[in-house]
Amino acid sequence: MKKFILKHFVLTLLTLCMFCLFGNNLQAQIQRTVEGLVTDAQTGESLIGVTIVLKNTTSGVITNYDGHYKFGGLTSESVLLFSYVGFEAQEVTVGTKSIIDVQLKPLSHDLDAVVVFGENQKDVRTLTGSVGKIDTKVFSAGTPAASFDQLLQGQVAGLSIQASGEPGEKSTIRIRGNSSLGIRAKDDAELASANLANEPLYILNGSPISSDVFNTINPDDIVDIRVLKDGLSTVEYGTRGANGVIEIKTKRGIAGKTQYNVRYQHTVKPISGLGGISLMQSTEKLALERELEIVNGLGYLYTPRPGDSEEEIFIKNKRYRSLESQNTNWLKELSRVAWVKDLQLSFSGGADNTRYYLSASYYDEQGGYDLSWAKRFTTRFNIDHNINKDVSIGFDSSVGRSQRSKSQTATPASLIYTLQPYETTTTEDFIARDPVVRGIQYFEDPFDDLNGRYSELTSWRIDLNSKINWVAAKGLNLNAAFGITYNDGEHNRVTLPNKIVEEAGILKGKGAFGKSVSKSFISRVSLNADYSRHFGDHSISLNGGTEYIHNKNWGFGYNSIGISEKVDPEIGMNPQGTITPSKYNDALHGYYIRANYNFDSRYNLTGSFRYDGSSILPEDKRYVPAWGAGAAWNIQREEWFSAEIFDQLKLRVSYGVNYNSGGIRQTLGLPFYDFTNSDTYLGERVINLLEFWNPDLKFERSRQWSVAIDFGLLQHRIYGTVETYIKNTDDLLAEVDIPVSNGYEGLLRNIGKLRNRGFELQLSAVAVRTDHFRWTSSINFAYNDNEITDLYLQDEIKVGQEGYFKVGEPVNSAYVNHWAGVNPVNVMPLFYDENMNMVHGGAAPQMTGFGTYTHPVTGGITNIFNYHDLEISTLFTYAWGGVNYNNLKAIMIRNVKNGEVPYEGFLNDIWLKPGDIKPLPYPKYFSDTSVNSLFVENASYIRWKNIIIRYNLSEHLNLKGFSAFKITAQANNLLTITGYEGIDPEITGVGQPLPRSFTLGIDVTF
Amino acid sequence: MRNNYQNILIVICASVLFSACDLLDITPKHVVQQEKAFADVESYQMALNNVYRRMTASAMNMQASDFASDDFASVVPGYLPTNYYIFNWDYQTQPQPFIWMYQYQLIAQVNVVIDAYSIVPALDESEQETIDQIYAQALGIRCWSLFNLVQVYAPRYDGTNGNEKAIPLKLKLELEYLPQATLEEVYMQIFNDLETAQELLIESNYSPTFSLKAYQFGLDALRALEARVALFMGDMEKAKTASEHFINTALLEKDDYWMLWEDQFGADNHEVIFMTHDLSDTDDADLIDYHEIYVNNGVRLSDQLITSFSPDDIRKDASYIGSGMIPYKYITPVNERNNMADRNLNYKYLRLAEQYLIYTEAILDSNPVEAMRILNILKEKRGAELLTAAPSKTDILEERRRELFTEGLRFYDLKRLSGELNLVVERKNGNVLAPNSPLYTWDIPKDETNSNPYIN
Repeated sequence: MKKFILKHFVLTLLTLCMFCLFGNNLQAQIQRTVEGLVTDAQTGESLIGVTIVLKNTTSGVITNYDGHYKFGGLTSESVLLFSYVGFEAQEVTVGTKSIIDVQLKPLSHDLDAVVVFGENQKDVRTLTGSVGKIDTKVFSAGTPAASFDQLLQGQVAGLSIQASGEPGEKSTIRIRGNSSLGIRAKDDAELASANLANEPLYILNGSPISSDVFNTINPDDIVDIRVLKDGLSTVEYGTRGANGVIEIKTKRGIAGKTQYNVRYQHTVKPISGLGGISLMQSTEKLALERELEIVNGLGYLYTPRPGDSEEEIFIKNKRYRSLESQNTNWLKELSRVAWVKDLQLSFSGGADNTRYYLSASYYDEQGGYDLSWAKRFTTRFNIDHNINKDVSIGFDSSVGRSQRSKSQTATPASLIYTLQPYETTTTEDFIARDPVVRGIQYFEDPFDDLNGRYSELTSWRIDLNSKINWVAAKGLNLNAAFGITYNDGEHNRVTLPNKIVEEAGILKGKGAFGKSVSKSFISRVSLNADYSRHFGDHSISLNGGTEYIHNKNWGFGYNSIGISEKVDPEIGMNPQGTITPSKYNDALHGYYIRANYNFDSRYNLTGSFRYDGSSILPEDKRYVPAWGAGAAWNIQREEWFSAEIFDQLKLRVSYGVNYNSGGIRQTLGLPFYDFTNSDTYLGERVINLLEFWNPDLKFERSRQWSVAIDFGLLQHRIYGTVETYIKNTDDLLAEVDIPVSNGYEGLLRNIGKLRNRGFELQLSAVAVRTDHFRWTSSINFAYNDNEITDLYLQDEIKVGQEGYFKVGEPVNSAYVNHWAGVNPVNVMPLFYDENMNMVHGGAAPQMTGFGTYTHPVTGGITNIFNYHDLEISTLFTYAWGGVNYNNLKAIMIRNVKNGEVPYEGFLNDIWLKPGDIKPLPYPKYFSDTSVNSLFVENASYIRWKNIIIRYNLSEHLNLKGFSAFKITAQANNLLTITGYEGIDPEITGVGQPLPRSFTLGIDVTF
Repeated sequence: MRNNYQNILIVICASVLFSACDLLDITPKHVVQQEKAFADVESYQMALNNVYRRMTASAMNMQASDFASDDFASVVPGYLPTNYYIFNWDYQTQPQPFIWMYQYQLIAQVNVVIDAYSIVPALDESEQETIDQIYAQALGIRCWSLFNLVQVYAPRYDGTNGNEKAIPLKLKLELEYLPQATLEEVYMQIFNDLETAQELLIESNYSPTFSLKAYQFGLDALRALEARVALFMGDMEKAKTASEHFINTALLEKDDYWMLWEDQFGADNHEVIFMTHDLSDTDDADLIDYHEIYVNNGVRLSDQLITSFSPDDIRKDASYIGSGMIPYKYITPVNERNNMADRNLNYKYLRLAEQYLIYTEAILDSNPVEAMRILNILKEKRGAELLTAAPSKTDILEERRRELFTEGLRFYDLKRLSGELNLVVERKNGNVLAPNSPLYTWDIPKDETNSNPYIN
């Protein structure tokens, strides 16, 4: 497959080149070419599909998805006419400029901009609500990403993204802090369960989607992503909007000449380092083993002992010395230099009444070792058609397949600590990896561990949506939309047989195979009517409708022990396995209405209401109302306002009440019994209680105030928003501990109240704009302060080993034992208690005061420089004020006694003999797994996320007919400045560091 | 024309509005509510199967408490640090011992059965008998768990300190925040439940088939447990009455001793009163692993225990104690009967030999001669040196130690008799478990105290 694509790519390229040369001959005369961005003068947002014609001719171009245009064959006298529905037209004379940016002014009534369909639908919510927008450029710039969420970091104030280092794995996304009580733990698995309740709602073209299918979406198909942050704009998502909403919109056709775009990018990912950690080398490791008498270590084995013969001593010393000179770089041995291939094809075009968009993409990413990879194939087609002047229809379809593979348990980064620097790839007895003695390893050989237990995930996603719009009367629009989505996921888990383990009587040694197949079918119907009308300076609009979403899930799991190695494990598995079928349906139904009143574009009032019901709640508590109201005042339109420097000055205030069902399942309300259990006892089936239940569950509620000022300054050079908010959440849902004497450890309960307060700044500026040069810069900054305000009848709640909620404290406080050092008398670890008295491990209390795992400050800085045909853009992201738990260091120190490898210089850090004053105790006395303040480290960082250089060659090559022929070079994750000493300040648990990568690409539009 | 459109629209809107209520009535497809779940006897039995299945895990058998006893000379941290902490009587360091959690998890599963007792309909008398028998077994298992919990987490009950705080008495499935019940309340509950269960089994003509008998917590198991509980609270009269049922059942001959462990299903083997089925061949049961229990912690039996066996004692055979003095009770090594090593994971919770020992101890004061005779029967069958004079309490304790090592009873015995016999356990690092030491009562884990306002 790879070869096929490569071959065709080369062929296409050759054809294109010939075409170019041929074109050259026909067109000898060189003329003036201009390019630029067309934006909304009020907001600075780029406008897609703006018509630009050479005055008094029919020749013209339109702006693309970035709001960018390029117009050739002009002279300095040419006059360009920019026009766009809902905006005042503008004329510009070309002159000597090569860059002409135009800011179009909206027509006097904001609501006039509402048009029938297409990209230029004005978002009424932005009038009063807080809606952050991430535009196309971010997704079409060509940053290689298996999943688009990786590209969102640093783009919108208040949207924080915590990335994962594995190819294709989704990130952790939060809007305006944690509004539910999630528990951040040092282990990744616990973190996953905490994620659910805090996750925003994701909407793809109107349909809700799960973050699990992000990797089936082609980032290049995305035209914009809107982040709904405040309480008012999220009201239309009712019971699901309290954590904020992320709306993803894909590209639709732009009327005009058909645009063809082909893009290929090739990325190299060198073997990454270990971030802030370097591993111990042979000399030190051997000395450590000798010193600590680690019985399985060769350093101890080759230590001369009393009673050894002279010959034995000689041999031991010789062997010891030869081991000292052996230093294997295991990370390098186990890893590979990886490639990412990314091919995109798209067509877009149409006449006045019909427009279409068609795209296909293939993405192939290798991970850091052989079995780690992700692939994606997607295609999308949509069409919009006006049947007559009143009725239009639209159809949208997409198919995506994503495949991922990785080792089930191991990564190179997780294995190297079990491999001695003096061991080599030809070693057979790895001293810290005996699979019979240790349950953790399955294969002794690290390469077998990487390749012999793998999991493969394939998912298909088919999405079909159609809609119809009918202008029933003047100002009255009726819309109906119907969509279905079919997901099909297959997950195979293979463990190849291991003879040694099997012979030791451990059944798993026979190998194991597991498969889970999950399917879901989501259907969605929505009916909507909107009405708008003007009376002089007054205008009103009403929008109401209903929505029904039905979700059907089914599938099965198959697990068996024993694999025949002679055939493909998928068919060579033991046919006598256990089968776990599953089936689950739910539905959501809502009514909503929104009203907007506008006076002279000066004053704006919006009210919004949604009444939502969900099948997951008992009948009497099924429906909840969400509502919000907002007002906006366009100060610059007041007659008395005369500050010329303002293009725009708007004050917005909004309030909204939203709900969140995070984590509630239908089966949580009553005791339910599971008859699908595949376990048996003496050949008989068993049934069990599905889960512990809570009959009092209700939705979590959040109430949010937002106040914002939007401004535009200095003739459209600076746009910005300053915003503050207070978000109070009550009936907080959290999975909290219950006394284990109930037989269950945790239960989802409504436990208290929480407040998030914050400040956000979003600033974008054209710092320099000359005739040939443009520098745009955008900065976003968010500060969020999080505090638990009530825990109903308690002062504090402890959850698991690390979770701690206390009134007055932030949600994610590090709750750890306070490390005091080593007792020089008996070598035991010492801790402080609340009164700063020193106590020993077991008696040490956990406490807060060591910071919070969530950064209060997050943001990003983007700079783009354009000079003629050259564009350089670069992104920095930063987070400040939070801590991270260096679990890797903790594990290393704990496992040294078993022969594992710690960090370099460790020998010097540990107590060895009475009188030593060292920061760490004698490792044999350090097996406590409690969370320890010693490993809580400041994780503030600033990361140079990427730099992208693009050069448009079409002018130089004089390619007639090509609007762009771009060469791209890009580097990612170049540099991280941080004081954190673990693998990566962004990564929880042991993890993989974010890989550095370098990309070369070619992007052709014609 | 326009009017038509409007009419259609109104109809659509109205129909959506009115049909909405039904749209959300979705009942789960994969699970059923209590009433429906227990609408037949078969399902009731399946809930009990679930309890037995849980008991097959090594974590459920009480071996973890052995680490606190004097049977082991060495335990290293290894990959299961909790065993090492128990060995050092450190009940606070994380992760804390899991006994509390596992036993209460079992109780919750048992309470599913107990709670549903009143709602399972019986079509005829024989069905009612089956229902009663299922209920009685569940009651018995709950008593077993409560007994273990009270042994580990509460002070020793000597009959006089009944008002001391013990453990929460978890008798219902639903969420409760329970304070600690008193020692007396806990023991009362255990005895009452054992009585109720025995009555129910007798009235319902309980008569299991031979092949199932040892796998059910039936009449014999209830009596055996009653004898054990009575012994530990010092009610010798009750211990005698309960254990008397068993002393006429023959122990295996010395040459057949291997059958106890290797042929637990054989018709000649009457020594198993209650055991669980070995599931290790039927699923991914890597938890039920000899390695997990002993090998990872580098466990070695104490010299004192090893040297206390007489030279011909069959229990010291290579099959029961490994060459490096590793406990081998749960592994079947290669021998003349087995050509491959296997794990022996039919956990025997109640055995005949223990009843002999309980009976001996219960009649020691009233009839020392008979006590010697009974104890000598056991000793003879095990190849141990016979007693020539009436046994002392220490003799009986020593025999219990040899017979029942690594079966989770030694720590309870030490707790019971450390004061009377002045038993001191000492570790190489100098840690000491003095007679009646507070360390005999383990700390209730944070999993409970963190969220239970009534227990600190």
